[in-house]
Amino acid sequence: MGKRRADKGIVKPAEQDPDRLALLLLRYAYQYAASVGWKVQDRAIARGEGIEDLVQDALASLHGGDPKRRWDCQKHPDPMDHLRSFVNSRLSSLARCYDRKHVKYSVDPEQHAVTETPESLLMKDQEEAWRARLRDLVLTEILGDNVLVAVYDLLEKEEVASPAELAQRLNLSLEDAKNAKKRFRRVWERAIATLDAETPWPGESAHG
Amino acid sequence: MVEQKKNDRDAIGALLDLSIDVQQDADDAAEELRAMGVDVDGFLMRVRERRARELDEERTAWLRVARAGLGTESARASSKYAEMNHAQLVAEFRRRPQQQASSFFHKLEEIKDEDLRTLLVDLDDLEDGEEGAP
Repeated sequence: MGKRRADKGIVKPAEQDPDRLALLLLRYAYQYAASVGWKVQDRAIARGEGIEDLVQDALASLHGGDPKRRWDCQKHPDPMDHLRSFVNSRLSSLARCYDRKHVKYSVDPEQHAVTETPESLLMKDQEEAWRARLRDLVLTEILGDNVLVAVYDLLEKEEVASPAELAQRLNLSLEDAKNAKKRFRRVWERAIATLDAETPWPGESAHG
Repeated sequence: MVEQKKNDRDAIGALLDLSIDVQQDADDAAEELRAMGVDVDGFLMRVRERRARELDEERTAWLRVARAGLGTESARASSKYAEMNHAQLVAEFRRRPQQQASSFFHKLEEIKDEDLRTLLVDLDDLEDGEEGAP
């Protein structure tokens, strides 16, 4: 009886629509990657390079895969919570790899300063330029949208935890706040696409 | 007003965080992904193919383990005889208690080394079976 009650909240992956889980996770992974990539100035992560593979690995962990990363249904009764945690963890690792390739720490334990190589400086310059250009593109698009300008101005000054809080602070309906959030996502996607067209990735050609 | 200020809070980062969607609407997700240029149908196809492959591997895992074990055993037995020359192989064969087997081979000297090795491995397996018998 007690066991049955304890198992009640667990949603087995077989009971979930696997396509639905896959779609929700892929969208989440692209959105989270954009945020992580922007913060660590890594264009590949921000652009969502390799995201599908990562999502495939996450989905495989529901049924098997690496035992350390396997779904623990007692810990995360909702498989989506486990999947998001898997994606967050892998993206954090990628971001840490990015830090390591940029910064070379001195072998002398007494000397705590980091040593920057000419290659890492060049890379840093390129990615700072990428971030500055992306920021320009995003801001140019935001300027034509009064609600997004207000949202941007607020976020520049204060922390806002949710669309509900955003709506309350700006005197918007929750629906308007959610729509602003969606419009911003489209602004971001267009900015990334413009940047990719301006400076194509290896193996890709610029459009037009 | 929106303008480029270097040391302000990272409003773009905050906007990106805020726009992460944890809503459970798969149709919305599919629509957004398509708008981003993602081949949604292709992605779902690849997810299903991988799952089918994994299920197949799960189903045949026992067979793989059994085959690996079998290979190791034979390899271990045959390696015992790999270094022996023809005379040593014949001597080893004659030393075996399975006298009835030798009656089939009147001219042991004419048997190829490789066949002698196989025969010895088979006799080993036979002995192992007899030892394990009740």
